[in-house]
Amino acid sequence: MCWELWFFYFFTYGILIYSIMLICIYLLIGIYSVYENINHMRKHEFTDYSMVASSSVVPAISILAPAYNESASIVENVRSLFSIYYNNLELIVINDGSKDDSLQKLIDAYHLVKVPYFVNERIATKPVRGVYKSTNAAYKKLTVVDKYNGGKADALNVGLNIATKKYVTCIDVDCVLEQDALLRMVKPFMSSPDKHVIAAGGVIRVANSCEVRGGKITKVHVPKNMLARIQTVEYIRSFLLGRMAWSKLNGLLIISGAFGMFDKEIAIDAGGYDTKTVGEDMELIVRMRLYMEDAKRPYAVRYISDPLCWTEVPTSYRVLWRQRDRWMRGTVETLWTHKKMFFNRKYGVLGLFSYPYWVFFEFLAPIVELLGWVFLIVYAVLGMVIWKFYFLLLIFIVSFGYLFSASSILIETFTFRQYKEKRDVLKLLLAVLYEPVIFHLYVVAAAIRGILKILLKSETGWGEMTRGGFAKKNESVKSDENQKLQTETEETANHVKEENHEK
Amino acid sequence: MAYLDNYVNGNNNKQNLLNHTKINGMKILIAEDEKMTLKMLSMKLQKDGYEVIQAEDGGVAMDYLEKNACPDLVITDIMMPFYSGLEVVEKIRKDLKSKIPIIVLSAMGQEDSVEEAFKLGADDYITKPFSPIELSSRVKRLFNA
Amino acid sequence: MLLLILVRWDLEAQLIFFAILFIGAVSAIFFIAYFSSLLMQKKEDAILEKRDERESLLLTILFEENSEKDDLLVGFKEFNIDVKGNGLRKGKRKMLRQIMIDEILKMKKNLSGAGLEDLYKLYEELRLYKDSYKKLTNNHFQLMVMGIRELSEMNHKVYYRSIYRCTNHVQEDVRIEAQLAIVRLFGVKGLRFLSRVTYTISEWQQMTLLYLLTNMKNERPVDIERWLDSKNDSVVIFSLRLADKYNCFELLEKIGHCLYHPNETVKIQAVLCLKNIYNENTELELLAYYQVVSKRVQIAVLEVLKSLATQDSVFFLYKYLVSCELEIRFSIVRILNGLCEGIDIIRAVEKEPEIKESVIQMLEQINNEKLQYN
Repeated sequence: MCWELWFFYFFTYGILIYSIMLICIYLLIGIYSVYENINHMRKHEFTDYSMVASSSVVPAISILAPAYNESASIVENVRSLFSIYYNNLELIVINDGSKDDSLQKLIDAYHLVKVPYFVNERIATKPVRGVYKSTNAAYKKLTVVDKYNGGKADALNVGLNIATKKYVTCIDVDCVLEQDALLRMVKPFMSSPDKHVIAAGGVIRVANSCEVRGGKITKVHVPKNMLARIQTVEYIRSFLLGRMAWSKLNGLLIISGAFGMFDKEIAIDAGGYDTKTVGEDMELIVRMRLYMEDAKRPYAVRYISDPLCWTEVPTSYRVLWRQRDRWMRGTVETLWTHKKMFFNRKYGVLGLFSYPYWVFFEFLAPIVELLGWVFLIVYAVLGMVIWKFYFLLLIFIVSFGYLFSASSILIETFTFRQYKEKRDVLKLLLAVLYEPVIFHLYVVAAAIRGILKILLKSETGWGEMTRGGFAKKNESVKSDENQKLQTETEETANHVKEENHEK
Repeated sequence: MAYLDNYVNGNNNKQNLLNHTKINGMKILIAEDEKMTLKMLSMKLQKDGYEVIQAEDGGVAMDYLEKNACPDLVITDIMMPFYSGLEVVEKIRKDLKSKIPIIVLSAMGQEDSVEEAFKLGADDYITKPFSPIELSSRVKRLFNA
Repeated sequence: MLLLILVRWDLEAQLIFFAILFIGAVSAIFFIAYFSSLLMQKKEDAILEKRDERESLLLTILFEENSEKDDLLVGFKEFNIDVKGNGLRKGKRKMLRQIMIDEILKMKKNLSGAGLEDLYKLYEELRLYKDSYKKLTNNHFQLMVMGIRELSEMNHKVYYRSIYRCTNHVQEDVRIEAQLAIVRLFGVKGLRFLSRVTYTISEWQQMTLLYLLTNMKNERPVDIERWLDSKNDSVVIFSLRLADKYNCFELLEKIGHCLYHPNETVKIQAVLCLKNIYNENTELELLAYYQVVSKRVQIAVLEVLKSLATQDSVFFLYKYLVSCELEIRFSIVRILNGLCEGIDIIRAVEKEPEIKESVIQMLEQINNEKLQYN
């Protein structure tokens, strides 16, 4: 047989098998998630969090909020941190060498003075220029750290060094937290006696167009912006149908950087944030897990399924492009750094299931989709495509994607019910319909661009300092498990038609 | 300006079972973000015959204090969005230089914040959950003092 | 049959069939999602309305002058004729009564004193405890939890035996709620369940129990000594916390035994207890103890020494100042700063410039902290 034929077979069947596997995996995860959601629905939450929150028996938490060139909003953002409803708290704002007057604004607004402070540098970081405390007793909880610029991860590491409490929470200052968010987050750390909980993450929801007052969401609306609306669907789908299942398997590889809580000691022992990657939030979790696996200590990463944190998502294609490009690079870098986990029995679920899943279906999916499109064009030019089959398969695949998205919205209406207006659900369902056309392809392209960037740079090493995370506000959910679905669909379409061709 | 819509004058409440006889037209500002607590506090004080202004968070309270004449008494929660109770107390004492009585509301186990509030010039405190009778007697005492 | 037909079709027909099937399924899901959301909204609105109705009535009753209160209670019963079941379907009646219970519980959070008594009275008079008890005897654990919570929140003691039986229930949620309920009802006396509980009491649960106890009259639990011997480590830890909270000086010896418990967390908790419960020997014992334990326990020991240390410790602490890691050194400097002059501390580490540098910084911070808010 000549090589062209081999080539042809390899790709056609390869892509077909890949797509079938992908669909199966999604189905499995989806069904498992639905099951878990039904369980969750039955379970009422009784704990009266608000009463406990104001008492002093609650465990101490340090909140880390990095800031870079945010002069315009910094004072307001810090003010909203003060309205977090929790008694036993310390707020650490880290000024990452801003070039504007962020620091001065903070000093003026909160009556800060520079205080002598001994920094126990357990993680190596860029030097600290000074630590500031307020002279006003009302702002006693606030500590502002001024340091030389070193990127978001570096700023967070300084925060870890300075934090004095047992648990640390890293948040994007422009996020809106639910009132009892911190208590809900800290609860899992204290309620599993047999396993050491090293980290916990929550559900992120889209805050665009929602009414916010005093750091609280007062009314939830479906975003007016089309792009944001699609992302709302994407987030719901990803959190309800993806993470729920992964967390139950204890295979969660990511906690969104917008709002997550860690056990400080473990985070520091594992080495803190990696300053060389753009996906420092994912990387840290993976490394903390590895640290625990290597030490053979029973541990868990918990996931809180109620919406706790609301964030603004990008409403312009340009920002969205940058965000997805970055997510993809973060993913690839993290996966590459920890490649020893790949099908490594030693790491249990993590090595045999989570990690390969990320490689095959998060990292490879956009590439396979690209290949699919390329082949489609090539075959079309050569006149080898049976269009009737192509379109049938396309319908099949697209409707599979629709099914998935619509189910997640159905689950949402039965469980969390955040969208209460009459037309809200209808709007979301419509967004599901136009998602593949105006959103999906664009996102895949951005991901591929991210991969290309990495490949092109690979000789010079993995990374230059990236500070993107500060400038933009919206990078919160690292990656979306299901978004790629529709994509694959098209590929399946591609090869099946190819297959027919051979007959 | 944005907050203006949020003033709820107690007398506009639809609870028309209440009698509106005012004791010398004494005005009480209540700042509390927990809706139920706010409702119950103002209900009780209205029953006692005071005029009640409800502020549903620190922002509304501050705004009211800025734009209106000082009320005759202020009851404020400590943990609130925008401005905490401590800041409200500070504003009244330092910026407005007013000597009106201030009661802070605190949940159980918040003693340190209460101490802070006393330092800033609060006169009395009530713990949540509150006893309605205790509430009226404390308010009465402060008015007579 | 269908399968047979399907197999006979050619590929194209099969595909068309599946495509149609899928489109059908998708549109079905879409419709279901949309209409169920509408339906649920409607239901929710209806419930909300009922809630508001009851809420305002409850408020009126609570703050009505005494003379009219009883009349209103009667009127309330009339208004809630459905509670008695006249002319209403069973399901709906149950729902309305549940709303009533929810509202009462919600108000309870804000009330104490006479207002609270009124709520209890209302709960009794409307016989809502019957509903709660029914839930308690249900097999579904979520309902059990609700029942237990309602009865205990409303201070209804009649069924306490059934609740007590649940304190070692297999189902975690039930167990947790029953433990809380028993404490809610009987205060420290309710802690009796500690003698029989075999499951671990989580940190969170301990915190909540302590929180509940904080809001109650101070009466000392009598059995702490026995619980300190428990085979259940979490019970030992919790008892240590209780001993600490209630200042049980007579347990000092017992607590001393716990310092040598095999479980590290117990050790730490025992050490922390000594902050409040100690005698003249404790300091020296701790210093000796310090040398034989792990770092986590050492940190706890230093924490306690912060308030206990006297001149007797100084020599010992100097010894450890030079030979340990920063976190521990910081704690030691903090203790020493309270005992002797800063300059002496610096002199003690004169020979090692690196350590000296860090000690100076630490001293600066500590001294500044004292000034900051005074």
